[in-house]
Amino acid sequence: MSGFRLGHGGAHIDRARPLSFSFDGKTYRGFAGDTLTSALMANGIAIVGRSFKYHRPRGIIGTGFSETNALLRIGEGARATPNIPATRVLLTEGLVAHSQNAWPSVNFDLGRINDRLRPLFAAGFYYKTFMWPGWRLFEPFIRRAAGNGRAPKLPDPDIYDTRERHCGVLVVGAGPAGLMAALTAARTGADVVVLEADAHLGASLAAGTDRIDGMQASQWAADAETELSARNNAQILRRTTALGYYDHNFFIAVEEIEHPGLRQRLWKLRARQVVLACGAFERPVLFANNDLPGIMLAGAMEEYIARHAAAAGRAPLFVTTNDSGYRAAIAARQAGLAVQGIVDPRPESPLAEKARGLAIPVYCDSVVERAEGNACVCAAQIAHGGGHKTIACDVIAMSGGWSPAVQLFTQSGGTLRFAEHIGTFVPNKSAQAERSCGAAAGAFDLAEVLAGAASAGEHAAKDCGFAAKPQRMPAVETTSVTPSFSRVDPQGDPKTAFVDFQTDVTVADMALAVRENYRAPEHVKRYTVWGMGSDQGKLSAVNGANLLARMQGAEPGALGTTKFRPPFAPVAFSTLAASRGPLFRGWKRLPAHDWHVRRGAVFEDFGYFRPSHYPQGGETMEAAAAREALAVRSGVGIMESSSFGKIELKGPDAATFLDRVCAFRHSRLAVGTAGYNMMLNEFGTIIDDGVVSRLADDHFLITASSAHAERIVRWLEDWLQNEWPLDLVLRDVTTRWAVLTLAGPKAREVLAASGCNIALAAAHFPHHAVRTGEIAGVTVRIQRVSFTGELSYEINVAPAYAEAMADLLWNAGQVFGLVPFGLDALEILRIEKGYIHPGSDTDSRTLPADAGWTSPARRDDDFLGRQSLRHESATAPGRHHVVGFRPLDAKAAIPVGAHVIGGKPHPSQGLVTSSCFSPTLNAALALGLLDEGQSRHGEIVTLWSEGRSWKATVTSPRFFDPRGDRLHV
Amino acid sequence: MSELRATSALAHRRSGPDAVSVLTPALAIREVEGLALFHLTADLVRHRDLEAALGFALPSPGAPGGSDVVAIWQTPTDILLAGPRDALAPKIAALRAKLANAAALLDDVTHAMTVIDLEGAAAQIVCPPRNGTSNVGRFADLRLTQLFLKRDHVRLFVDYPDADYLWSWLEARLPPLNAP
Repeated sequence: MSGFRLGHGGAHIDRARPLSFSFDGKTYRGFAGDTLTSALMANGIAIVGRSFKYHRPRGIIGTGFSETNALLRIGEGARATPNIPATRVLLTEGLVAHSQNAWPSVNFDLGRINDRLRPLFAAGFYYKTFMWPGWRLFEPFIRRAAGNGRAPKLPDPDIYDTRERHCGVLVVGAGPAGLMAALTAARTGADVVVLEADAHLGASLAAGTDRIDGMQASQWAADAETELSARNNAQILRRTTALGYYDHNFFIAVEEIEHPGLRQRLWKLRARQVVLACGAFERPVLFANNDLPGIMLAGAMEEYIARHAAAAGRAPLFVTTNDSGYRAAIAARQAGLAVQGIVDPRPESPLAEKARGLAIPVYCDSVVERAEGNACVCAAQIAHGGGHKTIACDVIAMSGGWSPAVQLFTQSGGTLRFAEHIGTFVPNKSAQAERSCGAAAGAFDLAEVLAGAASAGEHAAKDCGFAAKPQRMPAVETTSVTPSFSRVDPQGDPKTAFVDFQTDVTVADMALAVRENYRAPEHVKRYTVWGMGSDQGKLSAVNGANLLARMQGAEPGALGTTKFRPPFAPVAFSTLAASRGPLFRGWKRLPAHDWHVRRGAVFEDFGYFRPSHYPQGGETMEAAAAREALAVRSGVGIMESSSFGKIELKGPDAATFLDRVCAFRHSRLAVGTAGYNMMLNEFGTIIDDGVVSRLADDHFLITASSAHAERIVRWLEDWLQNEWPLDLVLRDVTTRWAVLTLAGPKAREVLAASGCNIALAAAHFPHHAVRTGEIAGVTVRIQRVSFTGELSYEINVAPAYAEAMADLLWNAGQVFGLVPFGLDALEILRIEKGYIHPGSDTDSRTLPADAGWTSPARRDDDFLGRQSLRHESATAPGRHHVVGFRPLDAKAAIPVGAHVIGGKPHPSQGLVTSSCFSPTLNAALALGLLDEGQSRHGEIVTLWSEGRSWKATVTSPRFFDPRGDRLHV
Repeated sequence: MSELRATSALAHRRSGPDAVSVLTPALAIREVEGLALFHLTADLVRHRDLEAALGFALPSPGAPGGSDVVAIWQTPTDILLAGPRDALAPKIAALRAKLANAAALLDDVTHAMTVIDLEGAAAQIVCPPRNGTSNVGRFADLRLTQLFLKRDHVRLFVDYPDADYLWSWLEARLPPLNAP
């Protein structure tokens, strides 16, 4: 290829604004408005990459999304992005681009040896070759060699935006069809959004000589753009590519942004009606060496000339199966190029005379058999007039027909049909509120395109509730003709006639697959990797489908094509994730968060940031937790428990409902009292526990563990709404109340010193009671319940008062030695008491009796899980029971997950579920599940974990104050 | 009168006593103070008579009720009431009278929620309106209520523990919103 810049023309470039850029370390010049490919072409760069498997040299083949060869690494360092189609990159000052998949350079690549070792790399080679002495020997090398480009190793410094948009009519594509559909819909008043992947609107109108309403078609497009931009019911998103079309007319699209630090924006769009005007892709022609640099699509060559004044060469030869190749050849001739001829397998074309009139030789009834050249094309051998002829050329511009861009259509669930007259698949039945128009629907005549698009826009608007006003169709003067099409068999050596340029799949590979009985396109795709590159077969799908049909003697329509899946074009993971950095997941702050910060808390992320411990003077976590736990046992501690789930139920049937969903009968609770609660599923297994408080006859409060709160609310709502239409309401009030817990023998004194106006003496406010009152004028609801085994008050207060309340309690507690304690200390305290944590100390089989609670099974009324508790399996031998373990070496804490070994038939008899070193008992303790554990207290068992073992005595899980005397002081 | 001072969920972001705000050309984010909020849970189909207590029609999805005091649909059984405390007080009293002994919960959540206003051309980019002028949904595992006051003015209601994350998320949106 000997590309160069034409001295005139180039609708999109601004010659007054030169830009410099580099490619493979060498600096070049281009103009504002250039794409990277047009700039490379204008600088005479022929080889832009190496092919995936055979490392054959490859040049620019297309424009826009039809580029499969020029996949470059753009940018440097952390911003380097691999596999970017250079056609999609707008030239900017200082842009840095590198070729890929070549060593030491793209012009001399040692990997080309693969082309000489072709028999080893035939389709499905990884099932056949490299098997001796073993695939594993070769696999690392093959894996290292495989793939295009390398991901940057540095963190991505850019940010990515995301936006949502609902609209009436979504028009995808802003070529002539898209513009016409958008104009028609917008003029009715419908809310219209237009997506255009290019920076410019009009698509094919920019390159042609067509006239609409007496003006240049490109001017008509500009006027349409102006009108749409001026409307407040229309929005044009330029450089925005629809990536995926999902159910309910939901789209994701990516917008390219030229802004420092902001690379792409993800759009989530939902439309009532969709118009697909995505255009069409030109197909390559299959002949030997059709992948040589200098061989490109005819429409692309025409477009580069018209838009960028970039010519791929000075002496192009055109090979075409339809009339659009003539149009491109005529445009090239009119741009001053020495067109070497047009090779057409058809007997004649309506445009042949015009071409001959421009001194372009036309070779009808002819085909190209082979391209000649090594690094670049230099000639073509054609079959003509019963003989062979070699034509010197520096470009072969090919047009094998046009394939509607049906990718989004098929993603939506629409079905395709084969249109024989254009040799490809077109939309058949829509599955959603969608209409295809223009080339995307198989229409190529401009007048037909505009009429069809106007109809699509009008009907889309009408289905949104907007009536279209009668409008005049634009008058069209066009040189284009309906593309008659001639199917051509592959020519020349099938081993170098490429069907899929990006994945190096040849006609020979397809034939091999068929010989080996791969018939269906999807099977052949997987065997040969045809259509599996990042271009997803945009150029190869239809050629491959036609070829497969021919090889099998079938009709292409009967065989079908491969499935087109999202994304339509490659997209960065960061964009899909809208790269929120540390914001990728929501967090919750405890209402008194800043109070904990002032106390020196170390936080852990449990959804809420919760203090795990409050180290003093360089303490370790273990030391801090032990100190805090001892302080609670001997004095008083304060912790925030706001994240515990809280659910209120109110209504005449609230007690009845609770009796049905809880393992204990809470209807017996007196107003102002509370009781331990356990919730079971239908199988009788424990799903959560907590406390139920009766606030009034018809008003209850349930607490749930923090991790289970939301699930329990949904569970209760499910039973209330779907099973038992009782007269009550329930609400998750977890965030309605902050909770500060005072725990320890001196908790009452601290609460009294705070000015609480509730009578606190045990006689008035016993264990498992709930009271409402005030502290410092603020309403509080206090529950005397405990998860530490100590006298404990859970003070519920509005979240905005939590910090001030914590300060007040802190000040009141100083004389009593009040200490803050965190989750690590709480873990010690509850293990000492044998308080289970459902989900940790129980599994999906644990029944209440397995945890020591036998009363639910004796209940005579009905409740969730009752039938299972009464089933014989509930008391059958072999059940896992909750037990305690005390290591014989009292200092040796056993890790959670350690197994009790020595069982039969399974080696594990159970496992440790919670473990700590108790500062109160000066001994290591553990809770666990053990086969028949309740009858094995006193037995010495062996526990094992990761190569270490311990001897421990099986005990009751109640290690400390087993009678609970300390709760009732 | 409380002796304790209520603390905003965004207090740690304040540099002084005033409510926190971030002003950019595309969008201003402001913490809103002084609104009273109540949460009503009841069988709203059965209790159409609540409309008399409120003085306006009960809200439906996307269609809030009222003006000075606004009622925002949350679920088929939940309504969020927001407005100046003086204007809200008589309506709350009337509601309590209507709902005495009924299966209903009516709580003051003024100090359990945070209100944030978005004002500017980008307000509806951050919070795209769906159907109607209010919306409630889950976002990043938090529950968010949106009230579209004007085309360029959206009011957000969020639970107290979630306010910090939401504010951080909104701030992170500002650079892209102010990009071309």
